[in-house]
Order: sequence, then C-alpha cells, then structure tokens
Amino acid sequence: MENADHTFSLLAKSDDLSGFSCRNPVFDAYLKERAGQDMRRRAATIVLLRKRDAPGILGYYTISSFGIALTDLLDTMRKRLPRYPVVPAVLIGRLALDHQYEGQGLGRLLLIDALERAAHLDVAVWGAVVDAIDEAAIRFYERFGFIRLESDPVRLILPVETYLKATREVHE
Amino acid sequence: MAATIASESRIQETRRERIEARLTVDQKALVARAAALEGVSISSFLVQRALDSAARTVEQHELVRLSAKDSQRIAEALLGPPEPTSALTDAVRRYRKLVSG
Repeated sequence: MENADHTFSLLAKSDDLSGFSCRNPVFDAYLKERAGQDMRRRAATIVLLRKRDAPGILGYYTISSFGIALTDLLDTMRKRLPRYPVVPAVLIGRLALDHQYEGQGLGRLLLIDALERAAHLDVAVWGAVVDAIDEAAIRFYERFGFIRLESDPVRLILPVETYLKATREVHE
Repeated sequence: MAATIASESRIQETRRERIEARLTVDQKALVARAAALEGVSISSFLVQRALDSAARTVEQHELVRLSAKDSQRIAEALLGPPEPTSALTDAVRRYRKLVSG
C-alpha cells in the first residue's frame, strides 16, 4: 500500500545535501555548490522531495521566472495574448532524482509539483518551459503533452491551462 | 546632488578592469589568426566575442526565442489549450495520492 508520505519543501540553509547523487554530475554539483546562492539571490527557487522515514533527498527541481518570446503573429492573435512579444512563463530548468530512487515514478511527482506551483502563482504565467538534457528526457516530457520546438530542440513548452484541465479531470 | 551622482556614475562607467586568461600556444595562435582576419586586435576580438556570448547565455536564462512557425503553434496552444494527455492526468492522480502537505 502506497501512502501519502512524500513531501516537497523549498531549499533551506539547514538542508543536508551532501548525500545526493543523480546520474548527472553537473546536477549534483549545482545542488551542492550553487543552489543556495541562487535561492538567496532569488535567481531560482529550488524545491526538494523527501519521503518520511527515508534519509536525505530523493530529488529536486529548479523553477524560475521566464519568458516565451514570440514573433510574426497576426494582430488578431497578438491581442488575445496577455503580453506580446514576451509571454510570461516559468522555466523548470533542472529536474533530478537520486539514482537510488529511479524507476518508481518519482520524476512525475517532481514535474507535477513544479506545474502545481506554476499554476498557482499570484502573478499569472501562461506557459511552463522545460530544459531537456537528452532524448530520454525529451520523450518523458512529450508524454505529458509538452510541445517540442524547432527553434530550440532541448526546450519544450506546456500551456499551464492544459495542466489545470488535468487537475479538474481528476476532481470530477 | 543629482549632478554629483551623475558625474560619479560616469567615472564608474569608464573605469576599466583587466581579465587574465591562460591559453595554450595553439589556442592563442588560432585566436590571433581570427583577430587578424577581422582586422582587430586580439584583445578587442576576445572582449567582443566574450560579450556576445555572455549576452546570449544571460538571455537563454531569461527567455526562449521562437521562430515564426513555433510562435504560431505555441500561441495557438496557449490560446486554445490542448486536452491533457492521459499520462498527465494519471500523474496528477498519483501526486494527490503520494504527496502530503
């Protein structure tokens, strides 16, 4: 029986990050060496996943304010957008799971928590943008409806409203 | 007062800083050749390229620039959001079950 024993929290000074190890050394180094500074400078928000009774951190993601710069749209379309040419968005720049906890569907929890935060910001954003590190990551995001770009092959976009539709379907 | 601030900031703007960087002989020769081809000094070649690259890196952290074709697709998706995939709906369900607080 699976229980509601996973929790998300913002990175705090008291967090011990030393044991975290994912398959990407760049993501490990980021968490241990730069994440705290980014958080203090408000350059990015770092969110940690923990499980009751499990030591250390299972995974983390970063989320920061971002823009989708559009070009060459017809006036009729421009006028319906909240802002043009840059539509407000969030960037989910890094999303990483400790290698001990792979294969349990926890990457999905990280993604949903990020989308949940994006959808309930007081300052509304329209899009969630992700940076995908490889083909497997691209396929992961595509399954959840993220749209691939020809302009930037490692970035994909999901309308926040599509996520909200999913949350309403679950309620019904 | 305003005049003082303005003149101080002008001093700030014109103050130059040095950066030193180590290159191998081959790397330096390549840079020197490229600078010569553009008819500029090695120093101004390096500074200009570093500034261009830095501006691009900063921009990539702040926004994604879409082509006309992507702009059309993404604007359509933002204005008429696609239905969620079943994987997305299932993930929301799983999240509700496993995550507390």
